[in-house]
Amino acid sequence: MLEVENLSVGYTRPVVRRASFRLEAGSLGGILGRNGSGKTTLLRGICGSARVYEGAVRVEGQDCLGLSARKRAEKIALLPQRSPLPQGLRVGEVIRMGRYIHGSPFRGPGPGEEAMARRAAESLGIGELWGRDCALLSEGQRQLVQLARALAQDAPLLLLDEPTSALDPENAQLLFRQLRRLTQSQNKAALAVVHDPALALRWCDRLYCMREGVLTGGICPAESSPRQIQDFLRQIWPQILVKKDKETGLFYSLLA
Amino acid sequence: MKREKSAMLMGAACGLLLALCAVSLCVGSFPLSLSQIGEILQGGLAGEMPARVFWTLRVPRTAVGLLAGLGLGLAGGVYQTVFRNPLASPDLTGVASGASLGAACAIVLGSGGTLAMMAGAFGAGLASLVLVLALVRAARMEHTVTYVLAGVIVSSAADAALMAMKVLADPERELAAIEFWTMGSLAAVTASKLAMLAPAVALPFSLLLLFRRQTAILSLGDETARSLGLEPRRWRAVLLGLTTLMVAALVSVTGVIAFVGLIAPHIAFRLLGRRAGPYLFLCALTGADILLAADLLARSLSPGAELPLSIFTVLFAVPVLIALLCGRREGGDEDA
Repeated sequence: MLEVENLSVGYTRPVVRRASFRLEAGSLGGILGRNGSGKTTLLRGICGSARVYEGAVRVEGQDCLGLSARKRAEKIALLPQRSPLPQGLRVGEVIRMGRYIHGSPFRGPGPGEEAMARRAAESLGIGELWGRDCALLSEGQRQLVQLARALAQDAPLLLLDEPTSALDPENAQLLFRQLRRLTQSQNKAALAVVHDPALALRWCDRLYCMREGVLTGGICPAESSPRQIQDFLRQIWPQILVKKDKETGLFYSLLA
Repeated sequence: MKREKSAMLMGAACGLLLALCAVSLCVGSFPLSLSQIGEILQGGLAGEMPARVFWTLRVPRTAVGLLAGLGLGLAGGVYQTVFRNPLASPDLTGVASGASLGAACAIVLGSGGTLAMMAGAFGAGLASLVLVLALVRAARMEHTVTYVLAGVIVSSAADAALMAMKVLADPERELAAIEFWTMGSLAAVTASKLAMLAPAVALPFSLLLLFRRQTAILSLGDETARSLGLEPRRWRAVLLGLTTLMVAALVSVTGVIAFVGLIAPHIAFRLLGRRAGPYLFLCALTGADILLAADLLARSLSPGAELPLSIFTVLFAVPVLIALLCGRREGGDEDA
């Protein structure tokens, strides 16, 4: 599905150097790392928002770096870290924008497009916000609206930059549960920048670590022991302790 | 219910516009009655003074007022949406300052004729946008604030050059012409000017309404717009280019008309409560309502003389802006 090969990305100079990894269809990948380590830059490089110095990005076997914005949007949907939702736009209008590439550029979405946008909103539990002004929403609700907009785009690859940064723990779990269900039921791939190790360990099929612009790892939490996971996470946080709850089988982490 | 409200507002704005157009056709130093206008439209009074006044003065003046209001209102709506900034207006990219300089150059250095002033204003207005886009490109930062700063730089440079032109101008004739031009007026509108202006406004106006979906998507920021399949740099240049073309053409005929492009979108948003759907249509209609009302006052309040349009557009804008400031809802992120 997603193949990233020797990708160097930056703005005025490379920030991420020679990153390589693969993400299969139906899987959810996570990137962990400290602030400023290059996680967002890597996502921007994949979706064409940052300067690519070398390397290749392929989605479903097609090279995406040379594609027009419209063609790339058919392959990759993005939930940016910060995206303005101006006063005066309603939730439904923003989510319908996700269907832009699927309809006529000069007319609004047809009934099928409208239904698809509504389904994306319902899947995240924000259907009742449809007619509300985005300016009146909480930060967490705005994040869900932006995610619904990205889901409505119906691209095979979904990139998410800190999708839970404004969500309460319950909504953060809901979001990842939905992502997991979406990737598995629709055979899509999703790659998320995550700051909470427990969330990443519970939901991601594969985890990567970004440290000072270098991507390492690629471990599968379900097939790894607590010790292996702890060693992996200590590349980022040397003091971290990782344990496994015997009853639930879930990992939890403590940062000393 | 929401659709009914939108339809009602659009209907009210159109109704007010029709009424203002009717009054505008009647009012002036040579008053015309509605029955006379009806007779003229049916081919009567041919060659007589009422028909000559109607066809050579009132119709061009009302039509240009209508075009200018529609164009400035729409341009303001597009700017405020694309830049996500409630203070954005067509002046942001220096078009008004550039056009003023162009007109002043034509008055002081050129023949000072009508065509020379129109060409100077139109050319310099477009040149301002080209300079702004070149500065943004040189800065290598495609941010809203970069456009604003580039606009401030170009406007300031044009204003400085305009001051130099005023110093060079003959104080009795040329300086007065420059001052009057920078305050806007429909007094010098003729049928030939209307014929030149109409296509230059109608084409960008139609395209800007056609591109309203792209305008709304740009308001979500460059990164999101790009991920949705819209190339932000290209589309922003298209929208700014069309807007500038329209505003430069208008300003070259009417002079600078202050605040219509700023205030019309605010009123439209306050009435409609949204910046999508019929918002841009309502911005245009509101702009036309304001401008035609201002023109009626400009030619009626001082018998036998014409007052500059901007006096009335600014007088109207100030209380509206104060009311908007005091009644502004909390929670918006328009200045994000």
